[in-house]
Amino acid sequence: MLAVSNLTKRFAGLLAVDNLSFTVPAGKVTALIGPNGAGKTTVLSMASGLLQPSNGSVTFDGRSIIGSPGHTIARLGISRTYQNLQMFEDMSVLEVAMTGAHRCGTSNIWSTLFGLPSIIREERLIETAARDALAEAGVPSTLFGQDAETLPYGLQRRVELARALAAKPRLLLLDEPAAGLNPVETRDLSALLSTLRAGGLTVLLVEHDMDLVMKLSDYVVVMNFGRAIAAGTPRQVQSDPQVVEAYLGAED
Amino acid sequence: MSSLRRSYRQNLLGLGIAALLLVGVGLIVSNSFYLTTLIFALISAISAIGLTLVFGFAGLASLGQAAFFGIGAYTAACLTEFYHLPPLLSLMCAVASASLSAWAIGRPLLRLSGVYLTMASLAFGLIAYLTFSQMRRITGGLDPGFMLTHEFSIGPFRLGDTHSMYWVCSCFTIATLLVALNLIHSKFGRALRALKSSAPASEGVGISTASYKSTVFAIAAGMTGLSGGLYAFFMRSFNATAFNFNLSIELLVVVMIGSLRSVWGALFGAAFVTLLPTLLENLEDFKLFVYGAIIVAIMMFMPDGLFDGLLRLVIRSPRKADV
Ligand SMILES: Nc1ncnc2c1ncn2[C@@H]1O[C@H](COP(=O)(O)OP(=O)(O)OP(=O)(O)O)[C@@H](O)[C@H]1O
Ligand SMILES: [Mg+2]
Repeated sequence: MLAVSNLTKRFAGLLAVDNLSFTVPAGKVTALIGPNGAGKTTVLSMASGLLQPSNGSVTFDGRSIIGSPGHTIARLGISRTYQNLQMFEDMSVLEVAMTGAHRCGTSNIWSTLFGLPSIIREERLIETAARDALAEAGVPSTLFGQDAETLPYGLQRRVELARALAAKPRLLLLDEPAAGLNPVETRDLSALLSTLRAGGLTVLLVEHDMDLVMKLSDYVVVMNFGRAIAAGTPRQVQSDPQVVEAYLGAED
Repeated sequence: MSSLRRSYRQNLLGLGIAALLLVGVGLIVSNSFYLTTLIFALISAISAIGLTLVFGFAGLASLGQAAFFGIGAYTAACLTEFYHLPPLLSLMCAVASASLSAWAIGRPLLRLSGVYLTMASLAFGLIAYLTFSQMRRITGGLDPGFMLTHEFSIGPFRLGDTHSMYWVCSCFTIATLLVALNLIHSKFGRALRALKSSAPASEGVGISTASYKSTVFAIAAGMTGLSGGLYAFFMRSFNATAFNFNLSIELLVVVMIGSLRSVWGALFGAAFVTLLPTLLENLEDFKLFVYGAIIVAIMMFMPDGLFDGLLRLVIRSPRKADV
């Protein structure tokens, strides 16, 4: 579904991603792992149009998405969450999720200005999509009216997940969804991702929590210093000597 | 009914109450000095509603609104004076021309952000002001200025007197508020608030930040152009000084005294700023100084606007989107 080939990103002399190739097959969970600074977030940012690669290509359903702005890629059906929260300020939880469902709306600016009845229908549609996504992400409905920014960190991460799901994506990019969560929250997240996976959603998961990765993913791609050092099923990469070395080396 | 729909209905109810208040004031007040002050307040409110959308909601601090006010004023005045277009049509053209010029400069201008955008819009405002004052063949420049011999009218109804102009400006204020409320309570309004807090995340949910910015900039300019056109028909004789930097600052002060989070603040701010000179004599001389002090004080103590801050103090509600 998503194919990355020879992808390279240079930041002023630093080679963050170096000639990386891998594919994310449809309906599967692919994990992208590696030590800190390996270039994982940079890959997600290039796949979501936030960064332009220095070289190489990213295709989605056979169509190149390099050079397309982020909103165009989002409309093709790629949603993501962020390693550092990118919460919308001054919005209730429901409104944040409704903003996630932005692309469900098709009205033009004129019907909005004049408040035509089609807008009311559209708002209802968007609100339903948002409520469903929040329920899916396990946000209790008692919180829908609260200012999203005032929620505890774990809940804000769920709201961000709901925002991504509200767009009804075909491919979901998750950047360390378990980071900063306590064990209970991590278990909930794991259950939630299993449900999404069972529903047939394609996921590219960046994560440091190995239990989560091994349990959830169908394929694993291991990165170090911008390069892929191993790829395969969770079992295969677990026993790969290069992977073991990269992780042990990183912990020193 | 969903809570968001309810909040929209409540705003419409507020709009009805505001309309009734304007009618009440119009029936009671007949003193032309007071009516004139009220008209200026309404004209400034219309511009400020637009600036609230641009600055308050989308976070784009524009210091060039006076340009669109001037474009609106000269478009309306010239079309009626030189081409004998019906005043209402000229007014609609004023909205369109201000909007289109904003659309044209919006794309390059709005690629800038923060203080660079403010500087660039300031420069645009200054260039527009210089153009207004130098194109004397059309605008009359600073001296003698523009003389509009036609009064405002709709069909056979002549509406040039102060009392009628009060009704006209009231109607346009209510209409502008309605349009602004429709925008805010839609995916468009959410997109503006979203791009203000996180551009990457907005793009990530499919919002084209560039086109939303230029659209809201154009809509606000249209509102400002409308108030410029009304100004032209009310004054009938005016010169380019009316469209200088002071006006842009004044509109910003109106928004900040009102609210950055709700278009209702524009009414309060406009009333405050228009009544201020009647309270302080010789204000003209140190107006910018007072405005500067107000901006600094509000930014420091009530960053969401004075009216908003006071309201929150009174009802002690938690900081939550008031839209
Ligand atoms: N915008 C940027 N400008 C310059 N260097 C950057 C930028 N973004 C990332 N880098 C660098 O690129 C490298 C890869 O960063 P990236 O964030 O992709 O790593 P990561 O694998 O996501 O790490 P982590 O597990 O810590 O999140 C790092 O050395 C980082 O410092
Ligand atoms: Mg990262």
